[in-house]
Amino acid sequence: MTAGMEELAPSMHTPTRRVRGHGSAHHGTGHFIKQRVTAVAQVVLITAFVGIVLALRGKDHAGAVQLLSNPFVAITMLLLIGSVGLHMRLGMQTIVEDYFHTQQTRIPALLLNHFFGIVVTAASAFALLKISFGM
Amino acid sequence: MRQTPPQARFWHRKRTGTWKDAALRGNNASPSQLGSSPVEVTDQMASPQRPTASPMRPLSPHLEIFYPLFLMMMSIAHRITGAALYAGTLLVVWYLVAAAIGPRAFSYAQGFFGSWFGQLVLFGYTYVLFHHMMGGIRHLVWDTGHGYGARERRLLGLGSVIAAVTLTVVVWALALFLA
Repeated sequence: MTAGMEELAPSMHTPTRRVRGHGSAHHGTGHFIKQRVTAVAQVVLITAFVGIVLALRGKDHAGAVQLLSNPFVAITMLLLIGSVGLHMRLGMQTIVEDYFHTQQTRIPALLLNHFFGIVVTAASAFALLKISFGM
Repeated sequence: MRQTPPQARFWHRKRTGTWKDAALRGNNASPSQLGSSPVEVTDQMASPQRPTASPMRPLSPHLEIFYPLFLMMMSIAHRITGAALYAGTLLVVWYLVAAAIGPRAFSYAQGFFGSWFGQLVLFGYTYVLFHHMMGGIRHLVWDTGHGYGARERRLLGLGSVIAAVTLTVVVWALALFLA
């Protein structure tokens, strides 16, 4: 559908003419707002996370499990993971859209990005819940 | 030599090349073609080899035209640190999943994070995290419509680097001395 710039160059259309009327996907505002909302949340959550990591340093398995299963720690970590999981996908989506110019590479890269973000979120959340519920 | 067009004065020229050399880099036109028809070249820069309506100039000034400037590097650093943190989430996943699996898996993770290489990675991770966080706060300030003046932008940029370095040092001082 969309070819590289070189292939389209012989056309008598200007670059502006080529893109005019295609519009945007109309998802830009939602993307922008989600990026900011998660960013604000993370100012608080990352600060707490750094404190948790400091408390975890040098702990053996039993100690780490005990700390991570504390409800305040577990809930903070779950909120952080949820927020980061979205924030990182939105950020990487912007990077992919900036540097992958053809649909053949862009769509697989976007898919990988979303899969990666969701796998990271799911794995961390499952691990935390398992640690908390001790099963 | 013709006078530099007004907009070119704001472009930071690189090395000895003129803005036009940079604009033409990668295109078919050579500097000798510039002398023959100055008006057309300036406006359209279409070369005879390529019958196209595409203007032979950058649609927007791009990296190779600029000197690296502090605030531009800060913008790029925000993206690079974001991408690094994206990859860095794997370390958090490793730690948490290892803790969920059991003592044996956990000891491997602890072994890595406790090694000199692991500590180096964590130190870098700490700075990158705070750099991106301070950059994010800078962006949130801009989102309110403030901080766009030349002086303010420079202060915000410098301030975010200083804050990131300070926070990194404080966190590692706590990690080392509260042992």
